Amino acid sequence: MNNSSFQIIEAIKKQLPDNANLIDFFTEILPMKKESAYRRLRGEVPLSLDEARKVASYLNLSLDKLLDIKQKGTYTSSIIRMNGKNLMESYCKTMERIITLMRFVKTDPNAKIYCSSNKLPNSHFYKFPTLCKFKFFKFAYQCRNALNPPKLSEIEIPSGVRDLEIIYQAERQQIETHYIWIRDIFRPILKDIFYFSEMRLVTQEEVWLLIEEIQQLLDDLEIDISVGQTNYRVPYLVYLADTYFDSNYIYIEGNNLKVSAISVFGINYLSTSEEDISNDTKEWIESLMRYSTLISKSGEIEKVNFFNQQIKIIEKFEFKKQI
Amino acid sequence: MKAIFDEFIRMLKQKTPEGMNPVDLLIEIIPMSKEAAYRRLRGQINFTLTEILKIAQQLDISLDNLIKTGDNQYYRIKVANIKEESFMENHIECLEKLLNFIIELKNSPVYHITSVNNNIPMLYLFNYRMISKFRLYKWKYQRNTLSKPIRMSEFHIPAKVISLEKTLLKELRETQIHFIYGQELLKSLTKDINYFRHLDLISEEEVDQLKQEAFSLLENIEHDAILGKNRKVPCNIHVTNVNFDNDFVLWYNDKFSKITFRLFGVNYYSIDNPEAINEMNNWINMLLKSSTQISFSGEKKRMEFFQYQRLILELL
Repeated sequence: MNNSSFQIIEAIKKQLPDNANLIDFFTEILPMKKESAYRRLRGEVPLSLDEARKVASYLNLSLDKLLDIKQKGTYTSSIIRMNGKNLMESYCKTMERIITLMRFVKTDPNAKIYCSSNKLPNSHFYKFPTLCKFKFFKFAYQCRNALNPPKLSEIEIPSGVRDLEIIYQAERQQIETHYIWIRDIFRPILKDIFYFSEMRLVTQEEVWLLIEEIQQLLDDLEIDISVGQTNYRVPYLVYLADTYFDSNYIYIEGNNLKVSAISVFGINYLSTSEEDISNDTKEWIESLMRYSTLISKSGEIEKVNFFNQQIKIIEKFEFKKQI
Repeated sequence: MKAIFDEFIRMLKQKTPEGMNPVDLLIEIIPMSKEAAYRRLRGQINFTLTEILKIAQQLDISLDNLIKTGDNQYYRIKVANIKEESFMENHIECLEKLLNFIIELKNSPVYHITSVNNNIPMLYLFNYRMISKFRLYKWKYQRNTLSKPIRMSEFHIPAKVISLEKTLLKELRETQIHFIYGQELLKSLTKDINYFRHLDLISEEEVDQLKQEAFSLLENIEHDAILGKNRKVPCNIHVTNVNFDNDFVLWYNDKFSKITFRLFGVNYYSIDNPEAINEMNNWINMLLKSSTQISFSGEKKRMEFFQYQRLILELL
């Protein structure tokens, strides 16, 4: 069997459930007679590019990865393709994909998430409907054409999507997480709210609603950080960074899987399961951790200062709004 | 499928080294007769999967760039990896690659660079020795797993790095660049300097030097913004009102385009996937929509922006 066909068939085998029939699966992806499928599986007939494309598409795999096309220093990464015409659908797919990953990882009792953020991670907003809506609104605003910007009040989050957000938050809370945050982590979301209210795309009432939810979020955070655990009694550790970092990095490990991701375009993540990059991301986050201060369970004075600082930031924005 | 094969042939031709014929290149990769090679390049016979695999591996062609598969968009990323144990060697290698890339970019009569920054962009960074050194020092300090922290005065930059930075600076100064700045361009630098000062790892004298350089750098950017050009080359500067996640540069000419993102402070990774480039262009247009041009025009916003940066620097 030639190398390329062999690699593809091996990839199919890896993806198949244990009790699945390879021939049935093969003929489903590539409509052909059983005999033709057997010939391909035995290596008597090589696969074509079109067949390889169909397999990759069906399994949602990278063709480069499937065929092991790689040079030194190159890695495969993936991102959910955003459909400009149906952003809600793309958003749902992103959520579903992350939920699947969380469910897979959390079966390992030693699963961990490391995350360094210069803005509050999206997962913290999912409990709050208006904040979630605002995140989606900003994303829609960025994707739409300038002549027709949406208003926050025009955004409707279907109940199914809201359910996904709640499920995601619950899944996330079941995995031990180590966060490293910049000290003014609430500033970016407040700046965005202020900007869009000035643009008159967010009303005064909506601003108050958002601020109320942010205050509630801050109260919840204070409890979680003090206890150092989530509602599911899983470690929730927050470190405050004294230096700056250039982006939001995430590293997830568990169940023999290592995945790392970097945030792009505000709502999306460029992720990879390539071991080199994932290990580098973990090392990078750990190096940030060494020079940061833990405020979960310990670091009382630092914690109090941190929350006071966030309250001041919120008050400053409330004051701006009154002007 | 015809469009995919046509694009594959186009890429093969594009990757053919200057002075070489695509037919000869094809025969070199896959031994075959000239006639068979011609037939494939004319699209009369399709390449087999094995042939495609060999060519793609040899010429570094990404099939994910050619073919869409499923909901996921696959990008091949190239990472300029920098390891702690071979930090300077890796950094030199990165600078050399970047230099060669910029020279290649400028080989074309039409080229352009858009740089989106929350941190000091390369064009200004490389002109200031202490600030440039501080950036590398911070990386080295953070990744240093040894127990004893090094002081900035003990950290030395090889002459080769300085020379490469100067050459890069020269190349960048001759290039038209469109900058989009975040509102707190100098905040990370100020905060980091204060952190190391607090740990007594940089001396007061070094802080003074850094401060002087930072003010000079700011004046330099302001000067360019007022004139709308860096020396004699036009440069367009916008300040954005919304937050963005990370620094990136979009490079393009009439032959190729690429995006580079900052990674782990001094590393970067690049993507040349056409779909990603397209998405990045849309993203830049969105950022521009929420931005104010401060080069040539936008005097009020320009003055506010630079005044705010000065206030930030006064925290040093």
